[in-house]
Amino acid sequence: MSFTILGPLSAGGEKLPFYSFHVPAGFPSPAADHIEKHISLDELFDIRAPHVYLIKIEGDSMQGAGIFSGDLVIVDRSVYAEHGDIVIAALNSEPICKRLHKRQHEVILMSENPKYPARHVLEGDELLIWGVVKYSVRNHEKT
Amino acid sequence: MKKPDQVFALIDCNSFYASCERVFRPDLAKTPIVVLSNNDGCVIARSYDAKPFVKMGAPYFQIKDHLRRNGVVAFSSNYALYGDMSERVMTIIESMVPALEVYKISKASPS
Repeated sequence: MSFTILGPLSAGGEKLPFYSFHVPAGFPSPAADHIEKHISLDELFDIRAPHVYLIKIEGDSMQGAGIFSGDLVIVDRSVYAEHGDIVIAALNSEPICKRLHKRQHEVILMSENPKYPARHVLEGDELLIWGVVKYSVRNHEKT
Repeated sequence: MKKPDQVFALIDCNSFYASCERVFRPDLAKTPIVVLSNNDGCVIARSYDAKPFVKMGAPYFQIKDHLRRNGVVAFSSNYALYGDMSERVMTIIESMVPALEVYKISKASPS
């Protein structure tokens, strides 16, 4: 599995109307759609924050977590990685994206794909956590 | 009550371009690196551990073999990257101080 860290973002941050569609019990009302507030994806994912980066993932080891090859992930470098977080890391200089298992002195990098075994991090290994994956973005178009 | 004296600080990022490149290359954290000017002309940044091997401004064609023999990795400059990283650094500092003057891509003076 590898990844590409994406470069500087271009100006954007267009606010989109955020519709809420409530279907009350009984007859749907013509006024069912209404604008609740305006939202921008930049704000939702905090993409403009200095500690947030966009990374494109390659590989299928995290499919069980809903992260597929070609997806974008939104990574926060300002938080400490905790047990259960999906992390972007370098294990002995090899770039990886895995779920972190950290209990007492046991550190394991788990894949979410039965094809890939858990990778125990041992005494001689060097693990550098680059950031924590907060969100991911998928293209659902038929190819 | 006496108004507190204004305090100034100077912030200077170490080997800025080289440090920027290393953020995305954790595999080179312990490898000396240099960054080259446009067209890979000359050395414009050296990581701390590259300094004993190469002078600032050294023309790349002259030292290319010397770098290779000593395991120093050379990067072509990527100003879009350095600009982006500089903005991130300054945004963080700005969030912590009342006033900030940015006077170089890698240096600022908060007060």
